[in-house]
Amino acid sequence: MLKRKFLALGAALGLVGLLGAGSTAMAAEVRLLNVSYDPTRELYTQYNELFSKTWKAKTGDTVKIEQSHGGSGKQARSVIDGLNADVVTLALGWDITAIERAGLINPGWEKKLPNNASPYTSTIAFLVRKGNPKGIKDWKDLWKPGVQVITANPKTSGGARWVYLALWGALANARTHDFSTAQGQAEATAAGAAAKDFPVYQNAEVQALIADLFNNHVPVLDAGARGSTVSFAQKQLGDVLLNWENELWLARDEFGPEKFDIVYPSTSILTEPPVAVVDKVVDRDGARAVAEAYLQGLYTPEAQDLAGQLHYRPRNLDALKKYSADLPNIPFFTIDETFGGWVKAQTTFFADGGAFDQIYHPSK
Amino acid sequence: MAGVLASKAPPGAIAARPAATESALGRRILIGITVAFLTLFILIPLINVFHQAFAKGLDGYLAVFFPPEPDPNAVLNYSQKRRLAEAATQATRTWHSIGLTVAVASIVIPLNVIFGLAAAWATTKFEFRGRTLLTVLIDLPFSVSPVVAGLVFVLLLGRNGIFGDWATQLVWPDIFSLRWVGFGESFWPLAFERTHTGIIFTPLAIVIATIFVTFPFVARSLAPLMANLGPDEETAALSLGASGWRTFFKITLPNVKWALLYGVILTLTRAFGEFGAVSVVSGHIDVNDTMPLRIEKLWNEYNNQAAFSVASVLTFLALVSLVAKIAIEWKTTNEAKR
Amino acid sequence: MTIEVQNINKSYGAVKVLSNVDLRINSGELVSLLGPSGSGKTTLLRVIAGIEQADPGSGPISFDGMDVSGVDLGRRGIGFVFQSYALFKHLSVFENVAFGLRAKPRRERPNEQQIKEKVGSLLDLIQLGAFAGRYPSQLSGGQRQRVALARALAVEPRVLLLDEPFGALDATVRRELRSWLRHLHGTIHVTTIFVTHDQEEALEVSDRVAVMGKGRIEQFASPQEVYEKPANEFVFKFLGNYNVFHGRSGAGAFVRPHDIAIFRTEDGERPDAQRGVVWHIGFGGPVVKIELQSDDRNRIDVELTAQAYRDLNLKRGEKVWFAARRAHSDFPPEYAI
Repeated sequence: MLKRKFLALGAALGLVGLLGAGSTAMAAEVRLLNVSYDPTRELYTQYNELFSKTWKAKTGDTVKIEQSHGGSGKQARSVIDGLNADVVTLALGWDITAIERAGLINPGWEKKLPNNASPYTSTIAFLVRKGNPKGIKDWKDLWKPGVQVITANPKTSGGARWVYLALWGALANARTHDFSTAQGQAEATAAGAAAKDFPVYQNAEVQALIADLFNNHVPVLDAGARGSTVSFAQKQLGDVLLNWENELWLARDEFGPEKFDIVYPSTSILTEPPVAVVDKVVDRDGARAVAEAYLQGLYTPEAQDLAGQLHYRPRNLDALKKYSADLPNIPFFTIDETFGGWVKAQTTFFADGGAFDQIYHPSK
Repeated sequence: MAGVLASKAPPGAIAARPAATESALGRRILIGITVAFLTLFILIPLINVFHQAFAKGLDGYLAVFFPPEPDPNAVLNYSQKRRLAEAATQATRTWHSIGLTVAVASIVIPLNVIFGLAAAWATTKFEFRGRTLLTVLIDLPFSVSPVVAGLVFVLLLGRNGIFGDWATQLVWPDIFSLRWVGFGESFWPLAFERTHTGIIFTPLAIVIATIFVTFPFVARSLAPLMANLGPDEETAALSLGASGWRTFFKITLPNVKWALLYGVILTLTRAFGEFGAVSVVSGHIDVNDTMPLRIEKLWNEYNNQAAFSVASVLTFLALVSLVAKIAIEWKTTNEAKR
Repeated sequence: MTIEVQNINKSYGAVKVLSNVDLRINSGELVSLLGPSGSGKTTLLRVIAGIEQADPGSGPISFDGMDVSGVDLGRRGIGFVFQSYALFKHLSVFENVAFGLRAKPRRERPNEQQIKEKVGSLLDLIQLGAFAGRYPSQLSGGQRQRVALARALAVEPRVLLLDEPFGALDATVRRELRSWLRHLHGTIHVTTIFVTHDQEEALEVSDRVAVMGKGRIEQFASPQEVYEKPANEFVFKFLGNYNVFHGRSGAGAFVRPHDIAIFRTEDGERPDAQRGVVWHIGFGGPVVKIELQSDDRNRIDVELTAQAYRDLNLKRGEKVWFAARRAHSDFPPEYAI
């Protein structure tokens, strides 16, 4: 019955579609859909205004950018299922790879834009309650007795995967670089490209520590990065929140600096959220030019400054320096050098039956 | 819920109720537990919605919907400008969500009235093979989790879905973008300025998902009444030479109009309040936000004031529909007594 | 209008409710379909009306010689009255009666003035002229049924079909309406079929009675003939109380209670008289019901006129003689069903 109802409805609407399609020649208004992950809402709300203005000045066309935010993996899944994203700006490379594997993005997307197609970076740091009552200063302090750690579920949240990798790399003493200099950045890129073997995966000691942390110190795993911030800041759960740096700053700004302190550990991971044009969709809708301009625009000084202002780490060194008071320089390790890139990390740690499934037993 | 209308006991039945056999103490404890439970789980949260919404007074409440206009002469620094722009953006999104919610409800309700009447008619007036199955199917949306319902449509209409090839290629016009374009380009002066491609993650998917979750309300409100009504009045009308349509509009419909309105109110409330199914098929695009989705986003943006203000609108609508529901029940009881 | 049905069969699933029914009703006649519940009388009425369809292979349903079995309910020119009245609750008495007029195709539809006159005269006919603005819920049962009848008559039906029209009414109102209906039929002479399970009602009102049992017509004759000369045991038993007398031959004889005489002394003229004891005396107005217990411990119901009862001056516990004045014993063997 349902099926028949649906078909009838579909047929009726299909007819309307045919009638309408012929009469839609004029479109001085361009629409672009940017499908992104949770914490970037504020960034893209502002960047969209910026881009609309420059695009209008350049071409005379009005561009309306629609935003969609959610858990990174869920968003990738929606794009695969038919969400008409013109561009995706997700939390991690794996999610874009998944869309690529579904045939919607052409291979080689990470080389189409500078810096691994990642216009801004971030890192994973700690948010603690004012005055840091539990004295949490570095990764090892998370294992102190009675410390409750809030983070999201690595199975569903991009941010939480970065948290997981940050923990693992820091504990395994991964090799770090100075990203405040062009030289350090170049070294890191070269080391990432040259890396051949990845001993971190065989580190049983680290694995045991991480299993202990998730099973005994993490009271709840939210589905998304924003959800875990809400748990910590609004619902007052736990002693320390592990999350994106920009997410910690947002919480601190929203709830007031008198409530929380941000703590930077001695080392952390350089998180590189990538962006890509969804080739299938832009080619179908004739939106390639504007979509590519939209992503390239993220590398302009104005956009880089905006990113820094909202506590993302700009790739542009001038902008990075401008905001260095809020974004202190700490040594970073990279996913490419330490873990061999997202495909390897994803399949080893986060795929069904992977390492995370084996260590995490929430019933305990 | 839908059974309320049907379970109306005849007036005489009240006398048949057995005298209370519990002790006075037991009765007090029972009433006490009920009151405590309702206060804790319903009344306090409800009051809290309004309390939070008006935490910054009426001005704070209204600013959510009507953001303050900047004084053109005032000199504003960057962060002040930023805050004003942000408030304006948020209010625009909120109004858009209200508009979409109303639009979806106004499409869903007439469709569900037609489907519901047909379904109630089919299951109560005809005997046929599979009637029981049909009745179960009508109730299915009540027993399926809304999230699952949403996923079902993703699996049907998504790119890899059963109808995926067709459903993701379908181009359809946005009916709200119909504009006057003049006779310059063709003999037909109206055109849609915007089209959508695909069904899933578009407003059409929201309509479909809402139809799914609200489908049983009209049918379930009507079915018991139609079954009780029996076919005599309709047969009488037919025997007097009335056509099927005339019989339906002059006899059947007036008899079930209160139940129909009751079903419509339940549908409206649910269509306004539905979160799960709509969330799944909305694709989290801001322009696809209905009011409940909007509330969640505002809450996730730490914008408690706005989240509770929008929530208070939904709560207020729910209270209004509750009053309407009680009024209808009161009216039908009185009519039954007459 | 004459109505003729031939070889009508009707089943619901495996249950056969009408088998090979033939019936011919003369123009202007008032005929009762009388039978116990489950005898198929209502089904037969609904098949004639067109509310139900006879099984395939059934014979024609002819109105004035024209087969109407393929004609829709609304086009057969019938007026149907339901036991439940089936008045339109949300419409006034006036609008109820006017419904059929307003439903006519545009070309045949009378104008508002004509409708007013027609409905007015019908309401006068049913003596509810002052009730036009009332709603069905404000009327008594008897008034409602009269409105239902007026509504059916408004479209000037060729045949009036009444399905236990007085079944839901109390005894006094039933009797009143019964004679009113008889009177009405005398005025308008429309062919009428009347379904009832009440023997008294059927015998009193009808020109002819069709007694039905288990889906067939057992006897179709005038009330007097049906009562006096029942065609078979079923008809006899259905039409009233009876006693079974077992003669010395062993064969049973059926005797109506009013066909039994009671004597104080042994009467030489009645050698078949038996002895019995007065067990109970029930006053029923003009008729007194006496319950006797015969010597062979059978219960015998007797009905005496009040006059006869007074003359006998019977008391409970008295020993009396009784004998059948008239017995029925010559029925054909029952059908094996």
